[in-house]
Amino acid sequence: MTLHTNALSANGGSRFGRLLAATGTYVIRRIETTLVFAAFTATVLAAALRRESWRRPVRFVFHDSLRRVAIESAMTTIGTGIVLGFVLVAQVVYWLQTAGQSQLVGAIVVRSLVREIAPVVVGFIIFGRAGTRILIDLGEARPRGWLRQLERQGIDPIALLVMPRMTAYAIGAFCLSTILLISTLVTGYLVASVLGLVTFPIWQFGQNVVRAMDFGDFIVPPIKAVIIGALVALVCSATALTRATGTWELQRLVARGFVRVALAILLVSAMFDLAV
Amino acid sequence: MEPRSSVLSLRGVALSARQRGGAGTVDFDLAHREVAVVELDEDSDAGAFVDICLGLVEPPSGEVYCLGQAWSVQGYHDRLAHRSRIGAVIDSQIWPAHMPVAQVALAPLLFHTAQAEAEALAEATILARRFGMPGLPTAPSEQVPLADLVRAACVRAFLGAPELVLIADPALESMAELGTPIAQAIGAVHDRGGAVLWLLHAHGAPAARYVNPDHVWRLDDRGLTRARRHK
Repeated sequence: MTLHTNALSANGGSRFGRLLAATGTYVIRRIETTLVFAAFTATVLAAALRRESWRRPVRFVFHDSLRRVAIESAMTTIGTGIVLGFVLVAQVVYWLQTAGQSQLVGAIVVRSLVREIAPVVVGFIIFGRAGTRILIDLGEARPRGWLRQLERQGIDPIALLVMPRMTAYAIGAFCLSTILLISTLVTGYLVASVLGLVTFPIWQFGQNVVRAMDFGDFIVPPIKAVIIGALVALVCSATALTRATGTWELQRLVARGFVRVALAILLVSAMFDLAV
Repeated sequence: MEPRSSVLSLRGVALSARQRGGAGTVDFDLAHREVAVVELDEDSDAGAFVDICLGLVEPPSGEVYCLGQAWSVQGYHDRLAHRSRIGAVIDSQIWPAHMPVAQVALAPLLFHTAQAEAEALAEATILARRFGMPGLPTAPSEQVPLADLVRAACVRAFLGAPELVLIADPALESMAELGTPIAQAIGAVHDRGGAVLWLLHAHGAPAARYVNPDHVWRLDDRGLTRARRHK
């Protein structure tokens, strides 16, 4: 009986041990990846705060990235705002009107649109319009060898490739959030007005929204948008620059980058909800 | 020669782990106003040698001094700044695909100096004409012929009066039409008090035929040995 028990323990224990080891290895690898990304982010932030990092080629990349994010993505953002205005604001107005709670329009719009939806949607717009470009452009840096070429010439790759993009995307996210909010609210009001759901003028609608916002709503959503914009650039850059020779085709790189960006955006959004 | 007084100095440097501490380590000095040619055998890795000289890779053993300072005592940003005084023609076919060649070629000069962009572009255009182009290519690298990429790499390396120039490029070696301009550019570095190190993959490379080196070496698994120049 003792031998039978020991044999059972050896087989079950070893299977369980292997499962435990595999789980532990996976978790440790993910923690290491997160820590490496945190170190990468700290390096980029430190570079951004150093005045000598902002040399002419770096400023050129910054201006180019800012143009790509804030200007070239503006029409997409306005279009998204129009769609959101139809879907979100008009629906909110309709159902609150039906429930006899029209006075809550401002509060609902602030809580859903200003605090939650705008920064997240802008993050995905930035990824689609500009983040994928980072993945494709920088994804060839290590396999093709031009990352090493930059270092041979004494150019800091973080300062030239990552830092200006992070800064531009952060500023661009703030700008696009503002554009998205305005286009959504205006469209929502116009749709509701055409459908006869609202009879008050647009400035009163705007006043309702502004009155529903407290002091934190003028600080936290912009900071959230800035952090999300910066994260999109950082995650895409880190994903692209860790692509070594012979690993992942470019298509897989974009898919992998999308998943990581989506997780990062939702994680930041959740952390802000918990903290504020 | 005192390593701090030479432009490039290698002391007991092993180029690979198997050479550590034994035969095959490299002792080498390149003084100001000197041109050295190192002929490589088939198994020698020019890229690894250049990266060790540039302080990008730490050798398994030994010490590398460049422009009077040891790479090992310098931090990351100090090394980057130090490399601003070095030009290199290596892997000339490798360029970022998303940036125009001209922008990439001017980047080191604009990154490291306060020289006006117009002035830098004018200087680069003069160099480009010497190397047989009307100017630096403004298209991305995928749209530029390989020969022009090699020329652009030469412009980038010799732009901004570097004190040390390293050349290790098989594509350049085969371009006979660059023999005269490369020799002139090397002469200009020499006249300014700088030094040039050329790692040749092919004996009798056409592009190097007008270069009269002060030293000729051979690099193989036995290390660096004096050699006679093959023409």
